[in-house]
Amino acid sequence: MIIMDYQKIGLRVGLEIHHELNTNEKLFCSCPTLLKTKEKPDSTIIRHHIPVAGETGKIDVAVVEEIKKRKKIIYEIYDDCDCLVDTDSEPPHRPNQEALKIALTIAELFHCSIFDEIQVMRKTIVDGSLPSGFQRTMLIGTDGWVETSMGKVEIEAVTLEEDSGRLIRKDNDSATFRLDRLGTPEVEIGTGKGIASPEHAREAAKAIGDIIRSTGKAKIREGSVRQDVNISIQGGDRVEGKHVPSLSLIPVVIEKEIKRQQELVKRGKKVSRDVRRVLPDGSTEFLRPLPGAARMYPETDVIPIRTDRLLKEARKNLPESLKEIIKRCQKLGLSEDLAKQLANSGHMELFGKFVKMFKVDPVLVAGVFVNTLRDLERREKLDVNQLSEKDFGELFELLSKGKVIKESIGDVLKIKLENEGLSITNCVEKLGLTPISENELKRMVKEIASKNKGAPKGKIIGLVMAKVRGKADPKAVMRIVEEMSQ
Amino acid sequence: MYSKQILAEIKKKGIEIGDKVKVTKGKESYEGTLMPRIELGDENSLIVKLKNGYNVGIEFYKAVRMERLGKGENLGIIPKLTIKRLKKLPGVSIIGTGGTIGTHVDYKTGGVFMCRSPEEILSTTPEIGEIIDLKNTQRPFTLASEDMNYKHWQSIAKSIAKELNSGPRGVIVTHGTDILHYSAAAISFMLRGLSKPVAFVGAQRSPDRGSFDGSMNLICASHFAGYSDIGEVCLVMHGTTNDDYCLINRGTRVRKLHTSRRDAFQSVNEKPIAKIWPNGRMEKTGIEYTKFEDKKVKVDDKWEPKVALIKVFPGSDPSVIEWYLDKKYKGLVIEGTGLGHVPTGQSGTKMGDFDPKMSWIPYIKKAIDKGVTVMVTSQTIFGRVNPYVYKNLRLLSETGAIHAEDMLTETTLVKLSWVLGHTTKPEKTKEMMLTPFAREINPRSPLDSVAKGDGFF
Ligand SMILES: [Zn+2]
Repeated sequence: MIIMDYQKIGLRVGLEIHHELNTNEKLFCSCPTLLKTKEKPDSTIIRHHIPVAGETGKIDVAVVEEIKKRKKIIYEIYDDCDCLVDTDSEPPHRPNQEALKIALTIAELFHCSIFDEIQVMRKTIVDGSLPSGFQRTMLIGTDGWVETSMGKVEIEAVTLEEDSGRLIRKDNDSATFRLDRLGTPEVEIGTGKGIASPEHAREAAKAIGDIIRSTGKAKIREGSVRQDVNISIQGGDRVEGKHVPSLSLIPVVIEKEIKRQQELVKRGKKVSRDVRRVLPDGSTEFLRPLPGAARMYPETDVIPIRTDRLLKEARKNLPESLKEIIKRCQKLGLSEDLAKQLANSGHMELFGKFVKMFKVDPVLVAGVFVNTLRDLERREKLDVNQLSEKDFGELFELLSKGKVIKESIGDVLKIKLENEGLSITNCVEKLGLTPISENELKRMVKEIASKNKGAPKGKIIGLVMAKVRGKADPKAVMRIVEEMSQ
Repeated sequence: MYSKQILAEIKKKGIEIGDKVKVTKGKESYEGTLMPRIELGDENSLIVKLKNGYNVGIEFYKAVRMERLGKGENLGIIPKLTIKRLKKLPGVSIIGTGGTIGTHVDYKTGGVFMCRSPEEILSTTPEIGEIIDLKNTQRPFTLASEDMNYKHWQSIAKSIAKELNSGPRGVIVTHGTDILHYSAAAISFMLRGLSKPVAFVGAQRSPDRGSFDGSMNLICASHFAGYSDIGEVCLVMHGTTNDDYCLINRGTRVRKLHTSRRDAFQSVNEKPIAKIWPNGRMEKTGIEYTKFEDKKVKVDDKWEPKVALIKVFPGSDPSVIEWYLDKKYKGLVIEGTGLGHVPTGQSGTKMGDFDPKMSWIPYIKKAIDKGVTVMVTSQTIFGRVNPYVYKNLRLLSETGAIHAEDMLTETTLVKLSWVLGHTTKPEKTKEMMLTPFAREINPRSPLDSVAKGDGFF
């Protein structure tokens, strides 16, 4: 194996990590930050965008020809998570203060210089993914750093912006975007100097993600994290790998891009500055040329925001570091591994709340947030993001009161996710899972034992369990059979 | 605007807005372009556009050092576009008066500028050059519409007539949207013998963005002005929230019914005359309209400005009328409730709680006795007022107040000014107020007269 000297080849790597924030409301309106809440959108809107004059003030003739085709942009609207602001039919409201505070906290955790006044900017976006034709974005801090095993990696910028709509379909004369995600606040972290190798890039990306999640305010759901990686080597040029799906793929993408650029250079070809789509194996394919600096100009509908008051609040409430969180969870009886997974699950805040609120085993609560949800997502292919704080609250309350047993948690949540409109209590009832009382259980054991006289204990337990599955704790069944056979 | 302290500092350092600067504050320093301070925000913070394109505010105080690095790029350039003329196309002129449709956001500063010429307005919609032959462009003034008054209407009317009488078959007027319907109604009365299309057009979204709605409005207005057989003042704007078609609404029968939607303008008490698509397709709704004829139009812009609009509300104090009488007002439009009510204190039991001084009747009577014309409309917006259904209505009608049929409040207001510009005789005023001059009154109330574009909110 050849060990590559990354310094010698002049490798430069920059990361752009986008992470949605888990605020109740969107960044510039009061819509909840939900994803697609029902099978079909409530309505669709059809728009056509016009070409806007470029940075130089000139309109490209080719662009004029292009718009004569009047390509349709179709927006899918969900009434419960879209409003007039989202559809560019009303000016933006005051920026979400919670999102600002989280972004300031994140900038602070990255040791950034934070500006006295933030100006919301309009970044022109021409693909139609935002009904306004621009994305609102604000620079929160610059010149920070994140600690890694190989030293500090520079954090060039922490920005807060509204997420765009999701592309659903595209053909020759139309593009369809779903507007549920649109407007959700997200932070973008851009790194500067300091990434020394592909593996180091992975470590830096993880460190950045860990810090964002340590706020307990990172949104965890499908598509809530997006990572882009910029790569160049000496003699090559800057290429952006768009949407690297996982941390482990980051070094692979970089290695493959280094090889690709080296090949091109060797053959005397020029590396073109492109955006390349990342494929599942870490290789990339051409997507589009790297755009020049996006045109950015002030959002005149939002007044500039002074940061002093919000920053003071953010500084007062800086989150625990991951280490501190793990230590605290271990005290509650969680293993280090479970604590780590919980910290990364985005449910830390709810965990803390429910453990305080109800008499339930913290390990059980953590297990629900870590294992049960993961199983529902991976095995049952269910969208666990539909579960709300209220749902979890109801579940843990029923558990604490013995009205449902821990073995049926997965089934209850599954029914809940498959039946929009049912409450957790409804689901427990629907499943017939209301636990059997101790007396009732004793009566059943007695009955089954008398019908199967002389049968071994194991068989009796098996017969009873078959009858009470989901309604009685197996340990209790064993105990009663044991007691009765004495 | 920046604080005095900042202005003094930049003057001292020989820095001009738009220059490249370096601002140092403790250990931090930032390089970028010094931006003008736009409108709101902290006047004590410097706005610097950093290399990455973001504007940020840096609070300025004594310890902050500022250094000029050199000249920046030019600020405030408006995109230029020469419209090519195809003489075989129908001739249409454009009159620009300001408003969102006539603004330009300077991408560097974010400052909002009024376009200097209609050509600049058209830079957002170059395809107009392939629909009409742009004969002439005029810009009598440039204003946000809320700042306009009848003098501006007189000047718009003159500009339109000048254009129409010199050849073009139609005119497009670009205009702010706030009072667009007042202007359209006023011009409808001022242009006598009009038989060519006059399109009023505005925009609800600014032209800096890809989603600018004014572009489709201008395209549809060009088809209307260049090709339609309609010879009236109409307002041509989005029919729905989609960019699919515009409505051709009669100038005296249209109202802004929403603060921010693209389809804010809808016809009231009658259907729009037609729907029009950006490809020129037009679908008429079947209501009557004045047919196109190639003849001259006359301006009759006599005007009485001493006319006011008063809104009645629960517990409203009618003595406000005296203030208008003191100021020598000649006409009042009272926007009543329901079918055109005002409080009279004579409607039923438990009237002890009604202070007799709060009855509007004596004040209205006094106004009429002084020769002031009092019109009554309804704040329900839709529907016709009626002087006879209830006792309170009859009391009001007995004072000599004139119920304005199914005329819109805004139309009634501008019409009263126009009528009082022609006569001071109460009887003649009443007769003219109840005679349609620009199809503003319909004696029939059609069943589907509540406006419903497909996108009606
Ligand atoms: Zn919204």
